[in-house]
Amino acid sequence: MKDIKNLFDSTPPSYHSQNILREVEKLLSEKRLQQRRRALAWLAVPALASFFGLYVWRKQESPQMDFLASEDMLQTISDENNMEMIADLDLLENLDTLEKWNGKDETGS
Amino acid sequence: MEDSELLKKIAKGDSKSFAALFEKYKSKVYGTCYYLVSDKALAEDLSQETWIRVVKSAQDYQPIAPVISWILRIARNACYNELRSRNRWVDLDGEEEQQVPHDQLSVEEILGNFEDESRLKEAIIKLPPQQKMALMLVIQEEKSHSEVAQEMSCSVGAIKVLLFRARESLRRRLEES
Repeated sequence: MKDIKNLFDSTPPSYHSQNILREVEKLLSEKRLQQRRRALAWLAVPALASFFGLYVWRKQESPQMDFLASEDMLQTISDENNMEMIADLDLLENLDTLEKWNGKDETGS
Repeated sequence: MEDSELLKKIAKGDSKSFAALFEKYKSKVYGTCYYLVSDKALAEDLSQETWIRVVKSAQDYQPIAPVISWILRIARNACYNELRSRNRWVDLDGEEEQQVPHDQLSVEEILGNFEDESRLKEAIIKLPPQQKMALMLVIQEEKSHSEVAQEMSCSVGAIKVLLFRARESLRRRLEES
């Protein structure tokens, strides 16, 4: 007895094989689409993790940066104050000079 | 490429791998359906259903059995469900088990020394579905009677009865023709 294991084999009609290949192709294209979606999801994971890491780092660093910013601001304010003071001093000096000149005129010297 | 590798690629949507697996086993799947349901149009539907199930559940395949055994099991289940829905599958009752005449018939004892394969195939297709299912599992899958009993959810005695009756029917039909 030869090929007894193949006793129940029977070649299907060619149109039937074509039908199956066509129907299955629809399923396979869906599977490929799912694979691409999964791959994109896996790519998104490190990207999201990076963004999250950046967010956390920014959150941790921000008080110091705020402090630095406020220090800068203070410096600016103090600089502005100094300038105003300088301006005031200049004005005072000018007034003194004017008064001196005026005095000179009044005394006639 | 091995069948299990082809299945892995099919699970990812690879058309070429499916074409290779289909080409390799389309005759076995279609033949299994055809011999079980004895109807070409219905066998085509069930064969298509089998391949669609293979693609849908390719990722679930466990390499505990050869790929072809897994595929043929899907085909047999599809046929079994169809035959049951059409009331063409009759479960064996307890009385039949009491008529067990032999211990375990070999394939040679069941089929005899047939010379004309086409006559044998014609005789097989006329057997009741349960006998064909038992014959298939013994011949195609080389399963023991206890393994056949497990798959067909019945006792070993019931399988022995089925195979004995299949042998008697085949002998009678081959002698008549």
